[in-house]
This record gives sequence, C-alpha cells and structure tokens, in this order.
Amino acid sequence: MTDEELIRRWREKRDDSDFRELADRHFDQVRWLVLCAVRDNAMTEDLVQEIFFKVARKLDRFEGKAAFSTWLYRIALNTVNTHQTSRRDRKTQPLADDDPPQADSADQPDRAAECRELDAAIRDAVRDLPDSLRNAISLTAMNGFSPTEAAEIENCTLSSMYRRLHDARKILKERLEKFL
Amino acid sequence: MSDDRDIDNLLQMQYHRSRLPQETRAAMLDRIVQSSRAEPSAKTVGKATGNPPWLQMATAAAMVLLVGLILFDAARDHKKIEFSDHTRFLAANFEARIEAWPTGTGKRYFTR
Repeated sequence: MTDEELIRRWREKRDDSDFRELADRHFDQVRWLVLCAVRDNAMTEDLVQEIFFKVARKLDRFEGKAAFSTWLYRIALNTVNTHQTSRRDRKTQPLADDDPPQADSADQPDRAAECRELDAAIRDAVRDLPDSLRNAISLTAMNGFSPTEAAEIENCTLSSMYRRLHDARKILKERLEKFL
Repeated sequence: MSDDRDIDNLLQMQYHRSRLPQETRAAMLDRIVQSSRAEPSAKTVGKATGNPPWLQMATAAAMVLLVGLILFDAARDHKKIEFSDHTRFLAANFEARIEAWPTGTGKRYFTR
C-alpha cells in the first residue's frame, strides 16, 4: 500500500494504526535528517516528535500534488531550519555532543569504539556544513532521494542542487579524509 | 566520481548504525501517535472547545433559532416604519435634482 493510499484510509477511518504505519515508514529517515543538524540527542527526539505532530495536524490538508515524502521532508526541513535559526539567534551551544543510542554496538566493544569515533567525526562534519549543503547531502546520500526530488523539496533548481551536492561532498571529503 | 561514492557510502553506513534500538524506536512511535491523536480530529469535527458533540449541536441550533427570531422581529417591525418629514424632503429633493440634472437648475429645489 502506498503512502497516499494509507493517508486516504486514515482520513476515512481515523485509525491510529494507519498513522503509526505512516510514521513508521519515514521515522528513521526523518530522525536522521534531524540528527544531522542537531547535536543534542533529547532535542532530536523532541524535533522528530514535533515534525510528526505537524504532519498529523496538516494531513487533512495534504492535497497529493507532490509525493507524501516530498511534503513530509519539506515540513521536516522547515522545522529543523526554524530550530537552527532560533538557536543561532539565542547564540547557545551545547557543551558536549550526545552519542545517540545505537542498535548494534553492544556485542563487540572494540569495534563499537571505532564506530563511535567514526560516527562522531561524520556527524560533526555533516553538522558543520551550511544548512543548504547539509540538507542536500542528507536528502540524497542518506535518505535516497534523487537530486530532482531533493531540488523539489528544497525548492531550488536542479543545477543548484547539483552544485550544493558537489560542494557538500568536497567539504566532507576534506574533513573525513582519514576515514576514506 | 568514486570519491563521491565513498563519501555517500560512509554516510549511508553511519545512517544505518545510528538507527535506534527497536524498543526505543517503538516507544517513540507510541509517543508520536499519542501526541498527534487529538489534533487532526479536533479540526475536522470541531472538538477544539472540549465540549461534547451534543452540546455543540444544541448550541448551534440555539444560535440559528436566535438569529431567526431576530430577523423575523426585524421584518415585522419593518412594516411599521413611517418616513419622517425630513426623510421625505430629502427624497423629494433628490428626485427633483435628478430631473433637473440636464438643465443644471437643480439647486433651486434645495430650499424648503
């Protein structure tokens, strides 16, 4: 069943399980999008919850002109950008980076430590990118959108999206050179 | 180009590693569903005030009845209206002015 069919069914029956299914499908990717931008783990969870809350509130007005995922990620990016802007306005920085809880780090401690180091480096490198570059790379490389879809979500031209991707990869390559 | 793929692979690996444990994920989804439950239906069926639906229906019916009564009363009163002398004078002047318009002599009609 497609997202759009699920939404139609949810509108008819108002069944929580349909909304849960919809949230479940996109949860990891939305969370990852937020995680790329926010250092604080608790704030990540709050923002993810806020994004899905907004989605639930606006779902009745979803017209289906664009794909649901495009619509959802636009809401997600707007929410994250608003948060980032207000954080910059307040000029507050968290003291330390949070390690998010991970699914597969329990059984091999050495490997887990290496992974944590790598993850921290990647997260820092991605978070330090300018918003537009970070959104471009997280939408395409991590969330699997094509550059065309990413350009639609970000409301920019395709050539601009390619340029952003090129710039983002160039910066990441420099910062993550030792892991490549 | 292969460097681009390396970067993308690195990012994808991190994406998969950063996924939440199943229980944490399920708990978050529960919270999401719980927090979003009330809101959409509130907009569509008008539960925003928190009143039960029967009370909202009764309030709406009472409002319609009240507006109906006011309109009925106004319509009944309307028949009793009598124009004052002043109103009749203004109407006559206006009529005369319109009639005199082509000749430009309308001003003389504005004296009582």
